[in-house]
Amino acid sequence: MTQEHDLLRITDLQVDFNTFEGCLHVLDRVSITARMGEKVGLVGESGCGKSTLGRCIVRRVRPVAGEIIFWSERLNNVEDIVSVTDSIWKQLRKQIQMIFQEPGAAINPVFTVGDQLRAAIRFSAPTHIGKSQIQRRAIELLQEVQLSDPERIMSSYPFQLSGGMQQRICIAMALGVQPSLLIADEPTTALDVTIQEQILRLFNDLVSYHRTAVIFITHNLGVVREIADRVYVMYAGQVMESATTDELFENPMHPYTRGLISAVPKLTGGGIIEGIPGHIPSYLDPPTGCRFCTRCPDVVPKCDEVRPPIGSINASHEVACFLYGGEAS
Amino acid sequence: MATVKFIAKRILYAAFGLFALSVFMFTISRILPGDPARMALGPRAPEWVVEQLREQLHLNDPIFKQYIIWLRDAVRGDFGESLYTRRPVMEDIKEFLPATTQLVMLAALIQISFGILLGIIAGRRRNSWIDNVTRVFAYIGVATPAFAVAILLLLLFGFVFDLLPTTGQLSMGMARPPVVTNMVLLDSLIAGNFPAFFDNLKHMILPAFSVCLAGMAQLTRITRVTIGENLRKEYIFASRGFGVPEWRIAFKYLLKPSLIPPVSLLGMQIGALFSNAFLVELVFNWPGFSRYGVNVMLRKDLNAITAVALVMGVIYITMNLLVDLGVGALDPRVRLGERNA
Ligand SMILES: Nc1ncnc2c1ncn2[C@@H]1O[C@H](COP(=O)(O)OP(=O)(O)OP(=O)(O)O)[C@@H](O)[C@H]1O
Ligand SMILES: [Mg+2]
Repeated sequence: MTQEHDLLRITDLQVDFNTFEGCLHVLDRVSITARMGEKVGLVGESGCGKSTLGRCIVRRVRPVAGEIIFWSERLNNVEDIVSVTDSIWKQLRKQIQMIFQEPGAAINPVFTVGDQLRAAIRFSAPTHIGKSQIQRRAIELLQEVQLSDPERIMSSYPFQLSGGMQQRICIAMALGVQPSLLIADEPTTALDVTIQEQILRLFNDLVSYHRTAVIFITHNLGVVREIADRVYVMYAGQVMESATTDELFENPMHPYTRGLISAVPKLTGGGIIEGIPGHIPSYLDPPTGCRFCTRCPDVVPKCDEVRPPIGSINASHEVACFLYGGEAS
Repeated sequence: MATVKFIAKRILYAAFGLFALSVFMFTISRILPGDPARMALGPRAPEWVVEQLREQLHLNDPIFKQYIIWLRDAVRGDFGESLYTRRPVMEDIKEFLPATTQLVMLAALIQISFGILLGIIAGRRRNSWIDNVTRVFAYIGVATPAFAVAILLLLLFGFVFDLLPTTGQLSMGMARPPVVTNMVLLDSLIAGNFPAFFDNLKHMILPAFSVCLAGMAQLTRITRVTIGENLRKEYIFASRGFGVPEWRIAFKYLLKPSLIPPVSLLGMQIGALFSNAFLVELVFNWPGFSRYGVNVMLRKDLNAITAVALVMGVIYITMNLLVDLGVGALDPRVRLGERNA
């Protein structure tokens, strides 16, 4: 049964933001899936809409079109997150946890860390659990995210902790809920390499023990390579390519992915953007076709008019580019 | 430990503030033109009598020496004699202050409870009809001076509808309960005299509303804004995601951070409550501190002026201390101090 059900299936998701300057068409027909216990990487340069996609899944952003089908083991049912009623969403939401990009944004500044961590454990538990048990679990979680001196951390307020500590507390809280889907939005940006390493291992263990699926949002290809089973490459609000991690790094097909990967060795702290000349197009008036067409070395005339269909290279490799089929124009 | 240090520090500041205030008031009241002794005795008193009074009041000594003498008495609770009522100033204060205190306390109670409650409701339901109503109410409240509100309420409820009493503390024929605190409300409660209690309360409704309307409007607005802002915060969203019940989020995780700005604002509003009370008392003929204060100032009643200012100072500083403690209790960043600060 687990194999049959995709845990998450997003189809043709479209997100607009109405702003003072006009309507930003940020996500354009984004489709991704995640199976139970799968680690899915979501990469793309800054501003390409990764966080927006994550926020749609937890209903922080309302899409204008598309579906987000989530299979709930607890309800033994599939629901469309975009259109479910509030009462069903209330039952679903505990199963989807998001670790937000801004460390500390998810921690209430006027309560102790312990208060919030214990609340996460207590209220997400399917049955009532005692105080001492909650306390033990809280300490365990803080140790899991490599925070030493858990008792002190628990009695601290967020402002007394560093950004990296706050980030790990957010991770601990999300883990405390034991979700079936975890969306981790750049969860290791504020951490140094050794701790980052340990946190990545933690995500790995999580998946193998609890069959939690993780959507890992990052612009760091090294992290993706280490953690993800499968990767989606996004550019300017469109999914360009998806493949298993090994396949993607060995055989990148989309011109954007190729640029991205070949740019990595040149990286010295800058963004991946440096490898490819040009800029992300404006979301106010993006090309109706492939949004990479303004920077693509292999561009053909129809690219900016027609969206290349997503073509399957093999069972686990899809790419949206006219270089690989979709001749009909 | 940190809390004790916090309180000690604030009390120290308070003491210093009061000392500075006493020096300031003392100096001002002595260097302003006009001879208090002459004013007290009238233009026809013989010069030698006036001179005697001057001597008695130490007016011929240098200001510094006068202040030392005054301070020596003041720390023992003796603020000298009023030249207007010819009684110890302390006694005047004991007689007139309680009526104002009870009025301001009721006003503050109404202001805090209604202001914050309306703010919460409006903040949780932005742009609903109730939000719009409170918005209009708030603009009117902020823009209308207290004495104008007082006169309007007086006309409306006192004369047009004739619903509520509009002058004094008690109705004609209602005996004043035995004096304990000199607050009629409290005294009637102590004496178990409930008719007097409710009669006094009824007399307070219009003045109290006039005193607190502007502050209530400000409080409503600021609470609405902070509630509305925090409602969209990631951490409230996260609490929901953990399955924390909605009422618990509302009264715990949302309310606490949202109350910090309103409570800080309260500290600034205390002064306004008293200055509003001064005018409103005149409109409703409320036998409070204001008439006394105005009279002693007009007569350059040295001891009384200094004492009135100091009493207001003590009240103001004490209330601010309480507000600071309140903010400290709500906000750990204030209580424990930001790092590097
Ligand atoms: N609430 C919003 N209102 C208007 N525009 C928004 C909003 N949220 C996101 N955007 C816009 O959507 C685009 C994508 O933003 P998003 O945060 O999803 O990028 P990202 O891929 O997560 O980038 P980064 O790697 O820097 O976090 C940006 O151009 C951003 O300005
Ligand atoms: Mg982001």
